Amino acid sequence: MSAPYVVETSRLTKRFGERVAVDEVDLHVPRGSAFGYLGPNGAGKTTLIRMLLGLTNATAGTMRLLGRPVPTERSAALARVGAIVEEPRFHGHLTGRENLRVIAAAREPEAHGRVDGALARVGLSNRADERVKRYSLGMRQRLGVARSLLADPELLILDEPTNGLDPAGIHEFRDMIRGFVTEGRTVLLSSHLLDEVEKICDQVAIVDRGRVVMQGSIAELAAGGEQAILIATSDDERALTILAEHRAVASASPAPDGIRVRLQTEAEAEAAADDIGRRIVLAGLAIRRFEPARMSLERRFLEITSRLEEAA
Amino acid sequence: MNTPMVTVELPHARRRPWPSPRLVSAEFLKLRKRRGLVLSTLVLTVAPMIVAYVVLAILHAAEPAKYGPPGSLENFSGSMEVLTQLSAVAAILVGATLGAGDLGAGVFRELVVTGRSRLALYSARVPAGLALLLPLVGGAFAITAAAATVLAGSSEAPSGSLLAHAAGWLALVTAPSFTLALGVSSLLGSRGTSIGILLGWQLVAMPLLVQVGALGDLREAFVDAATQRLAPAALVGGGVAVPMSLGAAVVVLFAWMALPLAAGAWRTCTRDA
Repeated sequence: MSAPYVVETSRLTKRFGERVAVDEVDLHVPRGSAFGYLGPNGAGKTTLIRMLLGLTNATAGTMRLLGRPVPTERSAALARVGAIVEEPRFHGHLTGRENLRVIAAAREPEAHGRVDGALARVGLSNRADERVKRYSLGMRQRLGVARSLLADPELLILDEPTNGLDPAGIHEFRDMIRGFVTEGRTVLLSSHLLDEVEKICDQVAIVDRGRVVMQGSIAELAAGGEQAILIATSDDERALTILAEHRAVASASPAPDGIRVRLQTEAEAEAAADDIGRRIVLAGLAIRRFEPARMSLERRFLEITSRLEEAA
Repeated sequence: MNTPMVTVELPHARRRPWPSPRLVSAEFLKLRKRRGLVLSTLVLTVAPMIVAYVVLAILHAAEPAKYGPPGSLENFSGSMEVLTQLSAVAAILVGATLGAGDLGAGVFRELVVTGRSRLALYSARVPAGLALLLPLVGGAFAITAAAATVLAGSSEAPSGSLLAHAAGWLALVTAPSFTLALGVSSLLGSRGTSIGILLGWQLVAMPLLVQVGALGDLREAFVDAATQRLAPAALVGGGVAVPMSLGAAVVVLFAWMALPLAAGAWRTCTRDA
């Protein structure tokens, strides 16, 4: 039976001398999701990934990959993990295909049979027999993805995968990642780009100064724990009066694009929203907008990190 | 590539510390595709032997009275002296490239991420390096041996037993240089630095130290002393600089191969990738 989480860490810590790069991180990456590991540069994202992959040892804490404890069963776990850590690196004097063959030799025998398919998947079949030193950065990134597919991975760990890509390349990359999730693979995407994580991922952990400060679905994080709706009507002033009298409404305030309505925390959000809509219509107002209010992940992220800075 | 995902038990081979033939083949691919390295190795081994015997043949053809036949035991002895030195240099180049090649290219971490035993990744380099080195050194020896025998004319040609002994001895001289370079470069993680240090040691420091009588029995610990002890008598006419027993020579040679390899293996297994 497959473990529900493909990555589980408990109080995972990495120190470099006095400096704590990863600070007691508890992380749970659900199977079959695109999971964003989001944080500013230097927050400890790459260090955590390096520990998971056995590139460096943890100072303290425990971790499991695909349900297997690591480092005890790292070899078995990594057999089904593909990864790009920082910039993908290759032997420049070998062709793209030869580079994949070198890695396939270190994997199970079936990996050799996946080389051509992986090259085709990332659109490099036509350039596979050119030396990698002639590849552009975008091509190297794609070859890195092809290399990680040799494992037929259940989990793909991608560390800042769109670094250096042009907008078209970034768009293509996003589609590719969503494609992997559709196939049932899990993608752990580390990035400092909020927009990227918001567009690709359904789950996210926000990390700052080595600590995971928040973890959950993008929708949960963007809502910031509160239940709110955004309403625009034919007469917002009258609508505000109606809303002020509704018992499920904690506050209603004009916003640039309508009225932002915060619901009472104990209110049943869906039923409350239905009732609010009904009352506005019964009052003879036309509803032009009625949707859950979301903070952008960027605003939420800045809110969290600035709060941390104030506390520090 | 929409292959279905299947969670399978890991083959034991992935955890084994020794390399699979596929890993060795991959290491060999990385080496043989380095045109500069292959060319350098050829220039250091096969090319000098061809050039030397061609020059000797031309000289002999031009002035037979002054220059004897290009073959002969004497010329074989001289060319073997050159070949052993140059083969050791070639071995250092190949060993250092293998030891630090993955690290230098940043590919070591990509290999570690596969979950394959680091020891297996490391140990695959030994047969791969020898697979490139020994055929080239062997080819150079074959040219030398053939020329010394076929072109001996009226001079004394090297005997079959001498040729066999010399071939084995050449392998014994080359192998420790290769393993030393592989171990040191894996330890240091730098090809250039390793080559610099090892050439200095092999070509300058060690030959000098072996000649320093004040070091006494300590000189037995140098690999040069051991290889001289094992050399065919016909090739070291002047005798050996450091008299030592056959057993001691074998132990010293083994140590010079095993210790650097062990140090390199330890560093490969413990370094941050």
